[in-house]
Amino acid sequence: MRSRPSEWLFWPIWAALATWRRRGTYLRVDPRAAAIFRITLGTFLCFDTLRHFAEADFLYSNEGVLSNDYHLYRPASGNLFSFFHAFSTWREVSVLFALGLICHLCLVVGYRTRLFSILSFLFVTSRDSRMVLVENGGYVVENLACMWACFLPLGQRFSIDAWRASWRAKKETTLADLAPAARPVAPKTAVRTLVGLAVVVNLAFIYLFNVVNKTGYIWREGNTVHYVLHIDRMVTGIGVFVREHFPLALLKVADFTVLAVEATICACIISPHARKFTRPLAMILMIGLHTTLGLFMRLGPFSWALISWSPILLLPIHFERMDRFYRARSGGCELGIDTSDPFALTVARVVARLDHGGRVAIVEAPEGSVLAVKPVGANDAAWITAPRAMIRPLADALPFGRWFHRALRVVTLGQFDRGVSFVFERRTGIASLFGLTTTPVPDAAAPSPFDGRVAKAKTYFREALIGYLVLCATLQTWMENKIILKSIPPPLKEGQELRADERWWYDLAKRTLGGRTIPLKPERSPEFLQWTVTYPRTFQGWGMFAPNPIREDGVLAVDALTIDGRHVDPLTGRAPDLNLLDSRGEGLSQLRQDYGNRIRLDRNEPYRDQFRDYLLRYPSRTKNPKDELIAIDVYWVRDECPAPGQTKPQNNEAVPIISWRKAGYKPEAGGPALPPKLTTRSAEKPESKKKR
Amino acid sequence: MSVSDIARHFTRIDPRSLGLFRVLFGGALIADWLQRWQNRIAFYSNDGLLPNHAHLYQLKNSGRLVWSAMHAFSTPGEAAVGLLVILFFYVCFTIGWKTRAFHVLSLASLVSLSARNTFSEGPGEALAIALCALTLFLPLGTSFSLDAALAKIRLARETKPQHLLSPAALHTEAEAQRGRLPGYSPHSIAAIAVLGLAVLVLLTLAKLQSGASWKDGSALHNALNVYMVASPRGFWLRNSGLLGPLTHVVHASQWLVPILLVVPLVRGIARGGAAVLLLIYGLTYGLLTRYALFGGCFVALAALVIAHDTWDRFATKHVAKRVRTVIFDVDCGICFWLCKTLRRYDTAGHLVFQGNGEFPPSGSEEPGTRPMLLFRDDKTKKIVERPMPEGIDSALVERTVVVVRPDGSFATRGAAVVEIFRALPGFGWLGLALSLPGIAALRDRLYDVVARNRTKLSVEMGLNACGVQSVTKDVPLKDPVAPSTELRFRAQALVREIAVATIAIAIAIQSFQANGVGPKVKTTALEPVTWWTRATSRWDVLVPEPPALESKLVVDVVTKTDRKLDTMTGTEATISFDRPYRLGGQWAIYLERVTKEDNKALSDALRKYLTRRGPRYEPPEQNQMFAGTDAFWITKPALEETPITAERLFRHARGGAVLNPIVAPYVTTPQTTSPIGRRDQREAPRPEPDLQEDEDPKEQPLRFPESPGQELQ
Repeated sequence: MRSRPSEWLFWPIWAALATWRRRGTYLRVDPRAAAIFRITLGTFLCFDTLRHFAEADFLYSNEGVLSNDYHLYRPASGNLFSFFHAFSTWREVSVLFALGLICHLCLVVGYRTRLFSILSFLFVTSRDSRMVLVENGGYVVENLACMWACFLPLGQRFSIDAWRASWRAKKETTLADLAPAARPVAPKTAVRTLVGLAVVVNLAFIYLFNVVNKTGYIWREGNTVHYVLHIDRMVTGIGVFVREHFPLALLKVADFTVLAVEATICACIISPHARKFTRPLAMILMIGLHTTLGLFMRLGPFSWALISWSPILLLPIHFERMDRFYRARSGGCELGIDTSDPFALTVARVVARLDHGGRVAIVEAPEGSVLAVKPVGANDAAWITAPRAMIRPLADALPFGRWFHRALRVVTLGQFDRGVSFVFERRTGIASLFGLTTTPVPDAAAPSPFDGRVAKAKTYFREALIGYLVLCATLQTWMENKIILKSIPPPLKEGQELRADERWWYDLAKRTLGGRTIPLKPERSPEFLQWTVTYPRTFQGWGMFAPNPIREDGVLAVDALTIDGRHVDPLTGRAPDLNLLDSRGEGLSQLRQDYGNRIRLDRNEPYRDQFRDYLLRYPSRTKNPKDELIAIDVYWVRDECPAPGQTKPQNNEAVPIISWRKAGYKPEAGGPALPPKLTTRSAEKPESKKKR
Repeated sequence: MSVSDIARHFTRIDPRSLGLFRVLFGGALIADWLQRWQNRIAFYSNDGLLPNHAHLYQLKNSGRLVWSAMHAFSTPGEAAVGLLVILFFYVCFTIGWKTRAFHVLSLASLVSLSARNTFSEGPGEALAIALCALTLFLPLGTSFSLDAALAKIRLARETKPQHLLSPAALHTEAEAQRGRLPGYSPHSIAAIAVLGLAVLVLLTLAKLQSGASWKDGSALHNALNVYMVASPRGFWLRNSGLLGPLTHVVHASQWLVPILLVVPLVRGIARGGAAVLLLIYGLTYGLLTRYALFGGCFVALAALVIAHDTWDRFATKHVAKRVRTVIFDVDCGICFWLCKTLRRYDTAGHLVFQGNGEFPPSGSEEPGTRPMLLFRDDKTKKIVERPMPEGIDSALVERTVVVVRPDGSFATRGAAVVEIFRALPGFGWLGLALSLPGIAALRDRLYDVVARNRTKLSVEMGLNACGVQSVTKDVPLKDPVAPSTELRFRAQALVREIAVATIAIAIAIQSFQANGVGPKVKTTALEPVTWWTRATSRWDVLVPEPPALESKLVVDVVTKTDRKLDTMTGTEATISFDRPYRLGGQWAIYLERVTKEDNKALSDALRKYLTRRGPRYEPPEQNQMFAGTDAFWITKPALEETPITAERLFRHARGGAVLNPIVAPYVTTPQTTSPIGRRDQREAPRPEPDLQEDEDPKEQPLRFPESPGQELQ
């Protein structure tokens, strides 16, 4: 019978050894998974760029809240670089956004994939660095996803690059060239690269630290979801509905569910065993969790960036299963072509490249036709020569062709088949126009041994660079996450009180070490780490609503007096609202609400004059001279979220943070008098100041 | 000569001219870059004369913004990275790799470098940008470029030795034009626009340089005796007797070149003359004065004006004495590949390639079984057979390449390579270089190494190896151009012509307005084109004549370690003008503007810069002020030693240690802390203190980033 210590040591050691033996599996990236990741990431980047473009005037131009010259003069962070600093007016910024959108679209379709993945990365980090005031964890996720994407084999499948390479590699001119054994093979072999490990482990760490950093009592008591849904500046209409109609018990269940789901996602991602189940489970949970978060809260890119990241978890076995699933529900066919017809030959070449499953046999067309289709094994009478009728059996035989065909018909409003028919009827002219011929051309030369050596050298260089970035990411994770202590025992702040269990560990550590302290983190990050991490904004601190969620809600509100005596909030165009108690969701975008939440902080006081100047430009935006402002008071309107079991927030307070009066103003007859200037004060509560 | 012939002459620039222009222009850009690299801290970083935020603020207040990517770079490290990236663009453009893309990037870089410091923009930048923009629409990579070389290799479809003799494998000029292959150059307004630009600049200068010294031939001599006008080379030649005739040549060129360019007759001679004059013109300004980039542009323009006839005469001139037959190893893939490549550079048809496959295996030869030698007949230009010269047998041709001369003698090994280069138009210099003693021995050794390992090399490069037959299907040697491709080219051509016309007209109008020469065109419609691209078209090069006064800034500094020097030169402070000015055109233009214009921010920035560092002195500790600084603006008549006037621009702390007693007799406005600009300050105050004299950056530490991932606490 085994003794107790070795018993409970056995399983972790076995798991660690088993994981070590399977370490190679982490280094492999399936090109199909990388391609789908590319498409989802690119699509997300496109939408996120459009989202930011909608606020380009407010945030990224000199007509907005922070001009480029001022941000350069007083950067919001050290090691800050952004191409956006070179663009001043809204028009200039629009050009940059357009260029960024083009880069993302090229990434989606896989055109010059590597180049546009790097340019997309430069664009998103530049955009982030230009307006650090609205940056949150989602931006960091976006930056990281783009950074790792630069090293992944994104363009090997489902891309224009792959298509062009295949098209140029070989021009088939005979039926023998088009036989399944002779066709170009799309890459299926997983690529072995360190970035495969990096991208998976980074994803897992996001969830791991999001879980372990949540050590606060509110999480333990299950009240986080309740508090979060009462933050009116973030909550959506769906979130308001839930908080008003769902009982507290259900919200507590949601609280623990979030923790459980995040922990499960981390475990599923990192598990080296049963990955054919754990990986899809992780994807499903990620999509479910983040879609829910995204529906309830306006958090910006966080949810969607992580959802777009999830396809990288797919494995070859998943693609094989999807292929088997489809094959069981579809049939093969024979495509007959006349090899002397260039149009038919081109169609056959296209089909040969789409037919990864080898289910389309390309044979000689029946007499009198250039293109024909029939089911496999059917007799000659079954040949279909009508163009529209050929599409369906052909699509059916291609991988997921039936669904793509349906999608194409929807997108083209049912005109796809007609379009194919139109092209077929004019095939001679089209073939002539595009110079389609049946003349052979030399096959693209196979890579020479020298090419192989050069490719290997590039691979080593790439892996070395990835290794450096992995090292930096690891160090940054260590440095940034507060759950990893600064030393053992940890330094205590003046007046800090420990819980009983914390006190027990603290005393144990002191006793064991005999009064010595083991430092776990240096005082300052090394400079190379600061450069590598800060410039591209690829931090590694993860703790959304950690250790506890915020319990104080707040929005920026402006009470501005116009020259004709009206009180208006230039941010909304409506009357100022200094009462948050009756709010049922402020409807603010993430950009606006994060900007408000940051500008009210004392450390961002230097940027308030720029915000005031933005407000003063109100009449130029409304094109109404009567909107000229003679007095501005900017408030941070805050309240305390209701305690669990309650529904009404309390202690509404409007803290003036900016107060401005027009110098030398003399009211005209009937004009408003200038109200007295308010005394501004800090919008940070004493407790939060002490924490810093 | 018909009208269409004339039109074709003016609307097309020979592709070889385009290629050579690209190389020379790229070289001028790189030379300009070197000067800017030396000034990177002063002009492109926030430790310099004009921090990016101050520049943007100035521009914003003046209501005239410019665009420059360099505004995004703040620290000296970032500025260095930015400049190195720009160098990469320039190098790729110069060697002709992905030419169009790097042409665009080079233009954006040039605009950025110029616009970053609008106070130091000169005529060189304006001309270079205009030239770069107009030539953007011409295929500069079509010749003498890596792109062209790779394209030629890619298009080479010969697979058998006999294909090397077939003209069907080579693309004709018409095919190159139709398919936009190497050697392509379009008929385009861009050709007229580029030459028109040269004419415009020259005629404008001819009109503006109306001073007496230009007429009497003393302008260059006077110019080179002005401190901040002469380059170091120009300084040493300032009293040369050649300057008089050179002045006349330069001045006359401004009239002659336009005439020679416009003349449609004897165009070879006319264009050749124009090219020579432009070369002299460009080298004069480029080497002798501070207008290096301006001069470099004209050197590059000299290449553009070379006529098609001249190139053809040079490239296709068939010289009987240079005809060679190259007997190569047919089983060697790399040898065959080299033959295919060399064939594409043999525009004169001097080389005939003959494989050694017809030779019987060595050792099995019988008398009379040697193959005939293929040779190009001088009169008919056709390939004929003649007896193989004695000494060329199977053993020899298996061992080395053999190049047979017209007289029957032959060369082997490295010498054969020399013969090949001598036969190729434009490569004779390489053959000569490889024949030099010492190099010849190295050449032969290298040849032996390659020959011994040619099989391995062939395998390594994926080419045929000895004894291995390649399985290739019979494919046509050329592909026709598809109609859709032709349509696409036409659509591109239309867009190109519209864009070129817009830019050319914008530059012309800007030139008329900026220089006050030419038709009085009153329009601002196209002004944004020249404003945003900084093609300001102001050609004020020594107009109306070189300045009569020369000036210099002397910064007498005492460092914290008690070292005494002038930070503008790195040597001891002196008011004499007996040493050349080494800081280049950018500093010269900047200093002239900052001492003349009323710009408090510029003055403050210069003062702040000079109290901490200088263009020729970087203190060991960054951002520490000197113990004392005195800055003097010294002026005297050029060509004379007296009278000298000195103006103290500012004094910092205890002042300098050397010049005070020396300049005391010359100081005309004894102020202790005068602003550098002479007129009243009309600058709008900046809300935040920006450029205060004693501002210490350490008092405003940058905030370390907080983790945004841990927000929402």
